[in-house]
Amino acid sequence: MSLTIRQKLLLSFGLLLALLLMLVAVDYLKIRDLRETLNKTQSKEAYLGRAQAALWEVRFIAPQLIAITDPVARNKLIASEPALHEAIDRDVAIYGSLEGLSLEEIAGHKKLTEIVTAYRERRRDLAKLITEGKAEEAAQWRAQYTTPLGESTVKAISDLIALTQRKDIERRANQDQAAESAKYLTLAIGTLTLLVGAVAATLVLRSLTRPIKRLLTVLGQLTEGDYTARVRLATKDELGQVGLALDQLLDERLESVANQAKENDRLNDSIIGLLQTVVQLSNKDLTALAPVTEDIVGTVSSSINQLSHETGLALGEVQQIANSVRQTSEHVVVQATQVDTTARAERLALKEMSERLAQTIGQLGEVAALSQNSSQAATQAAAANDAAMRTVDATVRGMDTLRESISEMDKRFKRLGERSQEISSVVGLINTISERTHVLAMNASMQAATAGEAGRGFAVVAEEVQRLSENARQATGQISQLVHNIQSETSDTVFMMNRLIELVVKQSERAQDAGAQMVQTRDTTSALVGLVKQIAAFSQQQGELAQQLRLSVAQLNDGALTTSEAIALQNQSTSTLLSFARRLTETVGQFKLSTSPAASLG
Amino acid sequence: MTPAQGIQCGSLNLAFSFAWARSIVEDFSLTPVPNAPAWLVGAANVEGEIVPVFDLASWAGDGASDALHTESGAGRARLLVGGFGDERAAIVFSGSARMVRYAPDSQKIAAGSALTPRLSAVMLAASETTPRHWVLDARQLLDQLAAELAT
Repeated sequence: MSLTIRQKLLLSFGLLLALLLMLVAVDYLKIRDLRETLNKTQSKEAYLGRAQAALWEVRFIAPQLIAITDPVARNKLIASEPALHEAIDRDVAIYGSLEGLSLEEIAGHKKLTEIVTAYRERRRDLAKLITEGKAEEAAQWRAQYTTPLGESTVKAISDLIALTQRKDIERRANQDQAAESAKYLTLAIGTLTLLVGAVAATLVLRSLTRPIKRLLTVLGQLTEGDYTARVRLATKDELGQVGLALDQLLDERLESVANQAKENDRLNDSIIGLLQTVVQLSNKDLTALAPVTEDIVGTVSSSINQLSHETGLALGEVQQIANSVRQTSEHVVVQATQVDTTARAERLALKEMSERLAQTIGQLGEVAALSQNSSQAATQAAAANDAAMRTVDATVRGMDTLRESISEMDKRFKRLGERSQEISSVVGLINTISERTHVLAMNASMQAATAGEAGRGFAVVAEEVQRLSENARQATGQISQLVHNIQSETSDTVFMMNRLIELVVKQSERAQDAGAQMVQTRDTTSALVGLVKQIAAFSQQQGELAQQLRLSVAQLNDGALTTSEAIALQNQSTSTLLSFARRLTETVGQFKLSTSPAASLG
Repeated sequence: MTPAQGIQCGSLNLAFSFAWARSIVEDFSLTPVPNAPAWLVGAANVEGEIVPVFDLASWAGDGASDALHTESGAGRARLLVGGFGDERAAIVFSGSARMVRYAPDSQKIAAGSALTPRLSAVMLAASETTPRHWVLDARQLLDQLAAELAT
């Protein structure tokens, strides 16, 4: 029979309670009998004792009447006697009405009643004689009737009291015997109650301790890591239900732990894949793609892929612009070399012109001294002048070519500055992406911290992303500094170009002035042929003109020297620009970019 | 070493534990609160919830932060949102946030530093990283702000 713990306890305690009630009932009945016996014996003796006291009080009235002479007191004393008789009759009647009187007590009571009745009637007649003043008759009546009856009455009451006391002693003896037997009955019932209680307690205790021990054993095995332990209690009471619930809980818990372990393995695999991609990105390989999974890491992987894709596109543009800058700088170097070559040729031409002018001046000086050879000298002077004019024309053309080259170079440098601005805007875009990635990484770090132990791996990834964005921001800062240097150098170069153009224009004007003076010299020399005789007169004038021409050539030579120095500075700036362009190309070239970024994302 | 979220409020470098900090918000709209002190710069709608926005530079007596008047660039204003439910609050800061780390026994350094009395009262630790950030007890700070608003 399968009982619950509650039913077992109720059954056990009910049985014990019934036995205890039985024990209490036996004791109660016995105590009630004892109490009734005691009440009856005490009451009988009390009634008889009170009737005896009243009888003695009645008998004491007669001596008092003899001693008292006051009529009022005597009448009062006589009037009190009927009440005493009534008390005697009442107590005697109550005694007779009590239950449990023996036959001897009933007979004694009957006898006492008769004597008391007779004594009361004789006492009434005695009182009448005393009231009427018949003392002698009263004395005779008293000696003859009332005194013997009083003594009989006293004796009857005393006998009945002695009889009652003897009977009460017998009743108490019987009651003690019954109480003794009841004591053994009480002991037997008490012993039986203890035995039944012990057996019931043992059975209930065993039905409770065995399942509890089994539960404690299984809990100990679980504590030591044995998750295969099960309770499997055979009972169907509350502890059996607890064991069954614990087994079900362990089964569900083991299944949940297994599922959690699988989920953690998948998440760890995703994080490892993401970390490998982050390591490749940290090594500046922007072709690396993080595997996009369906878990929370997949979102981060997709964001990193998008970031690397956008960064790759931006760096590709930077790379193209850097190549353009490098090509432009190389072209500028070539043009600067050409300008330098042209300037050197110009200086040689000026040197040659200066030498020829010196020669002309010398010849003009000889004109005065060698007037007889003036015609020949004039012819030579005209030839030298023609040569000088050709040189001046060549110089003017060289200046024009130089000015056109410098103008073209100025345009290219301005375009270079514009492309540098484009680089700045692209770098600003990269910097914005880096900042947003930084904020995204900080938010991811805080979410990972909120997730606690489960977010530790995610926190490592977020920290790597944050470090990557910081590196990207530093790289953009370096690129910005390089672009700023390029723009500064370009601005200085443009300034130098403008200054160079001004010098070339000025030198060209001076060369044109020299050409005009050459024409004048040629005309003068031509006139010398026809005016040989006037040579002496005009020799001083020609000498002054030649001296002016020499000064102009000297100024032209100085201008050419300044131009050469400006070109040297320009070559130095161009070399610096080319160096920066190559460093920019090398810096951007460290990133490994896919040939088709848009296609790589899929 | 315990990580914390470092921010810049005016000239102050402050930090809050990740146990309180929740997210950084870049785009937000600030609504002024009538009759509020200067350091309660307004309320913002963050993810559908209204959160109060505090300027700790103004509260600490370091002068009002100029981040709210910067529209873009590295110095523009951002919000550091922290707490849950009704206890959510936001701190306005400028520039980029950064992760800092601090040791629990660094409170002695913070206690001996020359900080304003208000900041010293809610100081928790000092970061090990450079520049040094002062890690604040967010709950104690918000209780202090609430008490001052109630008076």
